[in-house]
Amino acid sequence: MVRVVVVDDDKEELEHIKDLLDEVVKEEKEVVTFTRLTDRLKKEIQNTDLRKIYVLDIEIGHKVSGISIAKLIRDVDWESEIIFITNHDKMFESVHRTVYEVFDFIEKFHEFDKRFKKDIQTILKRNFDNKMFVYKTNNIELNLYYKSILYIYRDTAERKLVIVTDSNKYMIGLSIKEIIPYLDYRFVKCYKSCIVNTARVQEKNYKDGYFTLDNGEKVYMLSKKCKKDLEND
Amino acid sequence: MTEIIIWFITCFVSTLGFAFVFYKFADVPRKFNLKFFIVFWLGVLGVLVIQYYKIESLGHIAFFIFYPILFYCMKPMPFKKLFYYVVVIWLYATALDLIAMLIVSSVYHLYKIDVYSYSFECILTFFVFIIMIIFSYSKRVKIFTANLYKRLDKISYLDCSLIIFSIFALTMSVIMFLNLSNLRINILLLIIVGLMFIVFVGLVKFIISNRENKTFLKILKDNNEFYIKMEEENRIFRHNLNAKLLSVKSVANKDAKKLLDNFMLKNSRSINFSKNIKEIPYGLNGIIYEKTYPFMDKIEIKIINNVTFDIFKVLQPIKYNVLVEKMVIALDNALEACANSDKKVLEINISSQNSFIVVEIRNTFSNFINLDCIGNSGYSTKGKLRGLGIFSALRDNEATLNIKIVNGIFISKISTKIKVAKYKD
Repeated sequence: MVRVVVVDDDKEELEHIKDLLDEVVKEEKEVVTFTRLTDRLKKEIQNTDLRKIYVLDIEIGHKVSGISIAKLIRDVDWESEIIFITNHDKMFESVHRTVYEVFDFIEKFHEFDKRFKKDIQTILKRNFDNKMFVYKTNNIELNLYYKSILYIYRDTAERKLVIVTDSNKYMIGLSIKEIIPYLDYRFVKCYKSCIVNTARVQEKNYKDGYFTLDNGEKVYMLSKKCKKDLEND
Repeated sequence: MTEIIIWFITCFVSTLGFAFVFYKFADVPRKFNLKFFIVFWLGVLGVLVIQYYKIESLGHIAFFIFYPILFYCMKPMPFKKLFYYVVVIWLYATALDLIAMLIVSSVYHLYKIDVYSYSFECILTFFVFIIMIIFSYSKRVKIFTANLYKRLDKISYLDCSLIIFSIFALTMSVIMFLNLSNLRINILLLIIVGLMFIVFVGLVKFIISNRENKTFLKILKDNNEFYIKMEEENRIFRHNLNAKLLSVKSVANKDAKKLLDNFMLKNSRSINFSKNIKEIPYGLNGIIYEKTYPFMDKIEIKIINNVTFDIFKVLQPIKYNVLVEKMVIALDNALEACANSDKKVLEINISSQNSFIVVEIRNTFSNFINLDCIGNSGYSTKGKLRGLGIFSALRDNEATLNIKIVNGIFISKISTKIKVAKYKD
């Protein structure tokens, strides 16, 4: 079931979004609407058990804007999707899109219906793939989308694991054996000291012992011994 | 029965007079307040009992218990301010009472009327009430009262306690030394004087350190003014430069126009403030501006501020210093990491949440990070002999620093507790 939380101070707009959702979402859904930040909405945000799509109007005519609500959401929940509806203020789009992991900004008066339906369809199609890898040390907490992890290998000099993502590398004090419970089905051991995100692999060359990722990177850590596990996946 | 009714009216009128003066002087919002009505009528009945049974000794005590509650119901405010208004209104009322008494008694004396009757009291109260209403409309008195509070507010509790202690010590010493011949316990006296001296030194030390902190913060405030001015001058300069370039562009050839367009596009980049820089809390605005200014062309910076009150009033100097110190460390790291990242996006979010001031810095980065070493002395992604910033920032409890990495966004959250009563005021 998908739960859609819509926040907009315009009641007509709320009804319109509901109609659009009826058109586009064929599976079981629940739509909850709010006109401003209330205690009920705060509770809704705190409840992270369900997969949700938040549709937030940026200018909701109260002290708390849609951006502030997104901040509250991202304080506790990075798995739900956020879509912003805006009148004209696209000024900070790139900042908000990046720091709050916003799915899309849709302008109210420019092909709204078309873009909104398309966004919802895309979110449903990729089945809310926002599950996260969480690792905590004394001083820092690391949260990474599984989909953003490319592969994990063991640094023999440091004797630690290195998580390679699209943009960064993180070294953590775990062994290959210890990290497996943190991961989901898509991660498979491909070498004695390497785990790969199979969803990101484009090509496997067992003969030369490498795999190619969807970003073009070739990684020479593919063993024939792991072929069975990799091909079963 | 007539006597009770007259006393009741007298009490009602006098209480109403006090409440009205407070209403005018403290700019109380005009709206229905049930608490006020309940306290008001209870107070009227209480004063009626005191007046009717002539329990004079209770009169002043009741005044200083009842009116603070009544005024608080009308407009919640810190105790210090409330006490000030009660005392000031009491002083005004006493002075007006004296004037009214002189006028009415001289009139009564002329016509040889008994001034000790309760009817005299009643008429006098009405007279004082009318004077109070007229008095409360005086803008000069209102401004004088507000300014006097601003001046008195600067006197700290420590200053007050030092004055009270000094007077007490002096009086005690004089009394004791005058009766020295009668005192047999000289050693005890010596101990008392010794203790007094120690306490005195302690208090002086406290006051000096408090003053030092205040001077430091004042200098910091003044420095901020400089940065704010710089921002304004910079904006004017860029505006004028653009205008001149546009005029040059109008007569330039195709290639020159292209060059000018590129230059103007680069020149038009600036930091995005959700509000004017002046509205960001004192101290923090200057530091943020000073730190972010050199990166303006390289990074997309967004600053959101939701703190609308003066943070110097709600933060102890030591907490303020630690907050700034940690913010500077986090901001330095964030700017440097962000400038080397692909997306180059940074957001600073200043807000008040419950009884905390929170500064949250979110930035993109592209580094190789050893998570187990973050916060350890000597570890840095920026090279050798670095890495003391986060190590020290994680250690002071006056303000807490929480670090989180979420999907390539580095989030540093610094929070410190504030004085809630002053924040609400």
